[in-house]
Amino acid sequence: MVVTTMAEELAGHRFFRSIPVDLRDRLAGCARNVVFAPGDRICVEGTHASGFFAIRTGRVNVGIYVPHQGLQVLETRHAGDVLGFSWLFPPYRWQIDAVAGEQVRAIELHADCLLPYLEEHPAGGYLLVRMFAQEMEETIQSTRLRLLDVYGRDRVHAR
Amino acid sequence: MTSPTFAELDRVVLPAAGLDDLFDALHAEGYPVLGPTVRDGAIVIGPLTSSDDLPRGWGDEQDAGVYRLVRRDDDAYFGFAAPAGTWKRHLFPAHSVLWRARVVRGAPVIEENVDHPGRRALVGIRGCDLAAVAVQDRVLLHGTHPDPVYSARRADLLLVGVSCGTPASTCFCTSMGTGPSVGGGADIAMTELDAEDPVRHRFLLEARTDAGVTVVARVAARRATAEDDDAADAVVRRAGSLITRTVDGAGLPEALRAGAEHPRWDEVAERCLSCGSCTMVCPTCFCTDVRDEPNVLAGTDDRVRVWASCFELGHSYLHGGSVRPSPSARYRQWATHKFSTWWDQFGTSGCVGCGRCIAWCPVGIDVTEEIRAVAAGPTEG
Amino acid sequence: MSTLVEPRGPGASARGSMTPVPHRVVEVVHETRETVTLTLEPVSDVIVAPVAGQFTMLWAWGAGEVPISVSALAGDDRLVHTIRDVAGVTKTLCASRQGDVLGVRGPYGCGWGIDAARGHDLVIVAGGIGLAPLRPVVHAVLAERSAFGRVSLVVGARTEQELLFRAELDGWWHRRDIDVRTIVDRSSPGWSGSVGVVTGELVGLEIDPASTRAMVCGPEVMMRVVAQHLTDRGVAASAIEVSVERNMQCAVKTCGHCQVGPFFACTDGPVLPWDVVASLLTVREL
Repeated sequence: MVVTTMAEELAGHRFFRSIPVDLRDRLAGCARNVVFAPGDRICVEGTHASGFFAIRTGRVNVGIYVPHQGLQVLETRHAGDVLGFSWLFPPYRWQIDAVAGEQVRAIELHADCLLPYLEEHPAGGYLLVRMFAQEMEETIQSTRLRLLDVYGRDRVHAR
Repeated sequence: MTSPTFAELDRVVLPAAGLDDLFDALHAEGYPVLGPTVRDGAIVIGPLTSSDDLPRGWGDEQDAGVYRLVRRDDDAYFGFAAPAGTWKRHLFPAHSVLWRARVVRGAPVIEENVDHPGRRALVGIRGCDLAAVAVQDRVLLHGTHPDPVYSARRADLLLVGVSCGTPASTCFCTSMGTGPSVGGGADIAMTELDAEDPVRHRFLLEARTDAGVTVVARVAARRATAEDDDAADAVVRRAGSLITRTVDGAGLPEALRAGAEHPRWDEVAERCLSCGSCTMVCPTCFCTDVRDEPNVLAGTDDRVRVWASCFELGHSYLHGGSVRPSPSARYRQWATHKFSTWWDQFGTSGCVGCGRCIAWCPVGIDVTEEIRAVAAGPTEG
Repeated sequence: MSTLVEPRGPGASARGSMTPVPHRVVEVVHETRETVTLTLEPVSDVIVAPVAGQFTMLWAWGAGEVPISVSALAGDDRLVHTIRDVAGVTKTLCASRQGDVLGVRGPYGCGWGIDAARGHDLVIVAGGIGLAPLRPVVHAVLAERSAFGRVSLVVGARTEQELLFRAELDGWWHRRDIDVRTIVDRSSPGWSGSVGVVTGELVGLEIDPASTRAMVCGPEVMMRVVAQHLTDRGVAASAIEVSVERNMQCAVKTCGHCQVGPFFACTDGPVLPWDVVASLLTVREL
């Protein structure tokens, strides 16, 4: 069995692939491995956003819980993605529910541990926030493209 | 009697008073004549029975958005530039029924409908319009699917071209290499000489094909002299010198391809009505709509083809909208197709420099100005 | 001057190029609520057999014609077309019943470069009805599987209910020799698969850019985004094929409607390599 350190695991994750060593080591200090069984709730809308997850394997269903209809899955996060932006901004509350679609192995990183470091090390902070901003941009773009409803029937070809 | 050879007959002179000899010769060879004639204040293309039907003594004044007939002070039969009418209409009708289907024992039975008009002579076709026929031949005749309607109407045509002696201000055949003389494709090339002198008024006829030779052989004409040849050359040279509009073809296709985002397209769109007049009078435009016209009472379904225009909003209709909804994009499509992508598609320019689009644009847009502006590149400042 | 792709497909039959050839509907399969697959058999005259990526002009009495891609190669005289009802002629075609006689002109157009993809990895990306013209590619590849490297199929649809060829897709998903991923724009009860855009699935796909060829078909926005994603990852633009759609009326390069820049979608396309068409599809309203 190969034993890897948390820092090595972070280095092997797509999201963290190009962060500098010192930031990565600090992140490693705020991280732990977690496993979710299929159907496990990973986060709950409205609760305190205590950190974020870097997904190593498995699929995570992200959505919003609608009364009488259950969880409306709005997007899927895959291995290599991160889950959780709300820990960066007040009111530090999860905006979505996330449920493991299958067995999920992830790295959980804690906001309480990270935020003070980022405040004191703005260069590292800037880098991390930029990385998150790029993930957010991709999420927004995916959402826009689906709002376009390109496969939809709305526009009619009436010849 | 031995058959006349090219050498004996290739250049002959017919006095203007004997022009009906040519008509008689054409009729004797089985060619009814289509040519320019005055109707409704314009020179259009229609059936001609004799030289009396030609626009003798008529000229034209054309400019951006301007067309008017003017009386000449001589009796020239062909003293005008591009007629208002097009020859295209007779080769590529504005409305065709391609086939008619009816249901027989539960299944459609289709009867193809191709009208074969037989032999026809086009008399008085200018170099530019002759070049346009060649351009349309490439599109409708020489592709992988020759068009049956065009093929039937194109077959058995005798082309009697006439050099241009009185170009209009809208003309730019010299830039497009299509005139003022009669280029390739003509069976007989004519040049009208000395129209202002009733005694010397004559036509130089040059037979260029076997079919042309057969017709010219029937005409009582004398051999052309060097003086006639010189006079014909002078007519063409003078006509060429009178042409003022130009198109600089060097690098034009590439410049238009690169100029898709040029602001000039938006500027011209502020004037362009998207009326499509330019495409209707253009001798090379070939776009059509193909549709079914069912007749419930008769139990038939006709496949109909009608002229269309890239200026129509619905021309590029797809999935509930047009690919080119803005007039700017549609003008760009027309001009770029005509002067750029036509080369990629058919190996020639789509424009022959007849100038009709300039004259017949209701707001007087001059395509030569528009493409010049786009080709000049982004404006500075 | 740019050189155009020479038409690779066979030409039309000997009768007038605008005259449809009668074909009888022998099978109707309702794929989704608004999509139908028709199998047609010639009534008498037979047309040239189509290749993957080609289309025919399907004629419904009194309604007109529409261009529809072949969605399977039957291997005999039959034709298989999957049609989406977007009103007009397509509505009439989708309402066809067994025994109805339709008209067929074609086949037309340039097909997918399956031969050129031999020896390469193949990434096939289909969005919505775009899976129909690509299905014959999957059939051909699976029939000669050893001729190709790694093969991936990414299928996007609006919802699970709008996925085409479900049974076949499920069958392919279970195979070990093809990596099949499906993703829907929005989930529905019971959907346990991915939710998002096709590029979201492509992100997780390992590809070797140097040996990858791609075939992409779907809404133009989707093709643009997918091609861009692949070229960002180092796949050569010339190794990506897309299927361009335009208003088509004659299908024989004479009506002028289907032009996209210098290309006639009916004859130079509909399949075109991304390197020649990219600059055209990114100009507004070209």
